[in-house]
Amino acid sequence: MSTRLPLYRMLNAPLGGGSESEVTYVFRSDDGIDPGATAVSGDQYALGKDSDWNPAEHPLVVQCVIERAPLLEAIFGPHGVVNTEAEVLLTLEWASADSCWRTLGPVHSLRHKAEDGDVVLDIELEPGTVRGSGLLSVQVFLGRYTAEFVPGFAHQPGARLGLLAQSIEIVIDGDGSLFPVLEESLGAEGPLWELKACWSDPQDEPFSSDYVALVLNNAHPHFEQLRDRRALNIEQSPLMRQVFAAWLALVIAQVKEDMGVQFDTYVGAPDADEGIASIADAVRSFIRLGDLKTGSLPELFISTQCWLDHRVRELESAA
Amino acid sequence: MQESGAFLLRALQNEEAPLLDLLVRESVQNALDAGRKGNQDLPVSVNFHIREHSLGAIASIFSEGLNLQTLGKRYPRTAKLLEIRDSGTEGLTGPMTFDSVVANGQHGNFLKLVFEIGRTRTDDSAGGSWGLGKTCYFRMGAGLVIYYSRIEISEGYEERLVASLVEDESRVDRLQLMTQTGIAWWGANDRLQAITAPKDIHNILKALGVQPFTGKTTGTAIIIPLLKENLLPVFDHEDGAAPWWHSSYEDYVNVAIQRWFSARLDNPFFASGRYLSASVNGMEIASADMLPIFRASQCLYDRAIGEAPEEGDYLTARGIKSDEVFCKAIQLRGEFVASGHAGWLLGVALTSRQLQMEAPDNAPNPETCIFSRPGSGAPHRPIVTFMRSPGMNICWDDSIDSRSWAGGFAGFADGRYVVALFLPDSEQELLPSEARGLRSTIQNLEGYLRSCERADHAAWVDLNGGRVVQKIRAQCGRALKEFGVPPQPSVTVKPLMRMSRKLAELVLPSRGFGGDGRFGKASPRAVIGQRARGGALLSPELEIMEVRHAASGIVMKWCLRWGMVLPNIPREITVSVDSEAGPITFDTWVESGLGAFPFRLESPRIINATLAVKSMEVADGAAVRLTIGTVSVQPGLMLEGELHVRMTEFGGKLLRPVIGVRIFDSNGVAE
Repeated sequence: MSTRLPLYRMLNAPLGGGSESEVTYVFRSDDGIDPGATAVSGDQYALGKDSDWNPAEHPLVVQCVIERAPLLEAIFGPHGVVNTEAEVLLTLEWASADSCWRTLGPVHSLRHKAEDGDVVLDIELEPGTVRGSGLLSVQVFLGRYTAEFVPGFAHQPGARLGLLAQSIEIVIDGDGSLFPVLEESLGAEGPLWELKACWSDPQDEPFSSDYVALVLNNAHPHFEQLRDRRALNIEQSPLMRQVFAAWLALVIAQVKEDMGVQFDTYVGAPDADEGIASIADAVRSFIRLGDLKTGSLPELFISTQCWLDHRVRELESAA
Repeated sequence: MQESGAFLLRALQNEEAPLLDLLVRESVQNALDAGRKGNQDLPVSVNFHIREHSLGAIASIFSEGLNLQTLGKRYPRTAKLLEIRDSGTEGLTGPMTFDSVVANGQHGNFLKLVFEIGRTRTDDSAGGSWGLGKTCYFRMGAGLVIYYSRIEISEGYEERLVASLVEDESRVDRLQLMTQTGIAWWGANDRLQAITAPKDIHNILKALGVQPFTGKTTGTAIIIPLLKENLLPVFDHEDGAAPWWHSSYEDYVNVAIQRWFSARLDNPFFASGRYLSASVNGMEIASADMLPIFRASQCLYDRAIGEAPEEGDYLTARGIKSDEVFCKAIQLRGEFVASGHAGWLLGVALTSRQLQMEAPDNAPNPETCIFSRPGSGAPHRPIVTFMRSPGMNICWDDSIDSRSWAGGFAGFADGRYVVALFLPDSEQELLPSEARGLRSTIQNLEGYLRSCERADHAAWVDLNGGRVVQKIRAQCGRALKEFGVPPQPSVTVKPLMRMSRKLAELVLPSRGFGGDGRFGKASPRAVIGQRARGGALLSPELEIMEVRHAASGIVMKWCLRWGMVLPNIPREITVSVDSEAGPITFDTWVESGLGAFPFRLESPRIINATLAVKSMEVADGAAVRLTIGTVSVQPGLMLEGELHVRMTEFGGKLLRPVIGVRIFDSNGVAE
């Protein structure tokens, strides 16, 4: 094991450690969509909380706001990485092995002169280009160096001077449950909703919209009545709850029919503990959580409706 | 249960497949198994000879034991004989009698082929499995089979010959009357011992027109005299004339070899063993002479393996572009220890012109080539085959059932023919499964699929509780269906993300039923085998805690974990020069004549030592040696100190130092 020593002074994330306000991040998208970022731990942000943001469809814009005083101190101060004559370049760097790419945002030039206001950096990641998770960091480069050679200072323009703050990790995909709901125009004369069921093996294929989905017809006159934006924490109208209950019962009945005699054994077996759960896993979960009665179709419809109403009451009282 | 001739003749339980197909599958597979140990660069040769033979030859060889009168009545015309001869194989080795098998010893090929009809094989990569396949030999003719082999032994070579007869014991006109079971063997004096005297063997071979193996050649010849006259399957003439291979046994065998061994026949790119070289009555079957559908199938195999150049292959020659060959990794969830990769599915759609069905070639259509039945009108059902590592097509499936290999895809309306091949990833290890019955040994996919084959190897059927084959078939079906009917991406369909998240919160556990990132990264799994930091370390480790730059060089604070390998031997902190090819040590730098070494370690200082630690510059300042006094070193010893890395005037400021640690070796060679 060996360690390479740096030839010149470098930054080792001097900001952000002591004061949260020194470096802050703001996440946004276009069309006023909030990506729903939440800090799940010190350096990790998760996206999607209470949000319509979809990484395949919407861009992700991250803005980084840096307080000027500690920034100047870290770079030009006695323990800094350049002297006061130099110019440094600041930029946000996105690097994601899951997304298979890295990039730098627009560059901000910084000199040691009295200026007010925070330094703002931003970077825009196009729709469909981010997945898994990635690291976002504030990178510092040497811009111009005018003075004589000073031992310990970099003197090649473009030299990396290190990280200004600890990288943050942005999580786009995780293992958070997602109900497969799609919006599609089925025509004004078409049904309000339908079940998309194109699995070949419910025990094998994941519970995702590629294989199973609740399709809502956005051309239907009653489409707008499915959402109830007044119910802050729930957001489904009573009509939507009825649609949802019918859909759940239909999926359970279809999976039961598909699996035949295996179904009862499967429902009684312990939960799988690997990867994204299958369609059959989801059905088993519904049956267990809702104590659903699968003996007959009428019983299943009744127990599903009762379970949903009960859950809504639970969430409303918790809100 | 006492085995009887009637039982053995029905044991294979495959009355649908033509006998000649069963024979080709069984005999070539046996030959390939027997050739596994040979030179991997050379093919396994299997030669089929079909010729007439005199009844007198049989009468002279089997004068004892056969009812010659009945023989004459049953075969009034000149009879035919089939000789299946493999060479470059190990032959029928092993003990010749059960008495000579040592305790727990191997029975060997001889006993397995000749006497152990119905004994299951246990090695995963063997083509054969149940031992019942060879019963098809007895069904080809009167039930008489002669086994001739030449093997290598420590003293040179040995020839062996033995014959057996299996016939329905209830037949009135059976050929031998001495046993009640319908089963008999002919050999040396005691009848259950093979003849080994070359002169006796050669006399018998001469009577049958069989050439003995000579020189260094080893191998086996199965000789089946008194062939039945109705071995060619019936072709429905109403829809057209029978194809050319339905006119003689020779031609039919030729096509049957192509049909079942298309991947391995004359294919040096075959990946899991020696390739197959086959001939019929002396005419070798070259890859280029195969029927177009089998050439296409071989090409799909080669594309799956990826060793053969695509530029000159058959599909390219027929105008198929690279992206027109469908190639999909088949992934299964929750079945394998490592990744979910179960194998590759490759497929292609070919026009009748590409399949050379038009003038001037006028090749028969794929349905006729594969199923020996007249071609149907468009759409033509997709045809899927699959194989294990021995390279024999398990079957050709053209079902259009939604749960079939083609997933219900009925074929292209424009008349293109779809042919596809699934090649499993044999080495994938299966997870132990209670449903499948926990096994004490690790089972790989090859072994599992082998255990899913019946005696005729004509299908994969999951073991009770297993779902691997079902899942593979379902995935292949889905993929082929999408190949045939690509899902139309609808611009109007889009996910309702907020609703998806809200409904999930209503009815699902927060994690595990999707890939959403709103709760952060996926829950970490337990990592096994990671060493806890601070535990007893074996090798020394050096960590650089702090770096300061000064006019003369770099000042660094370090922390050394001493380690428990040779604890009383000094450790050395070293400096090398970073380079594209890795760190250049002091010795290498000097030996290479690169001038003065650009770095020097100076002013070593120990900060935290509770023990007496001596430090000393060595190797002209390229290392600092740390020695602990008389006290023995305790596990977990950690030293902290400071060290200057001085840079010389010559390039030192442009080169990058690399700091490391090693155990000093008193012989002058550092570890």
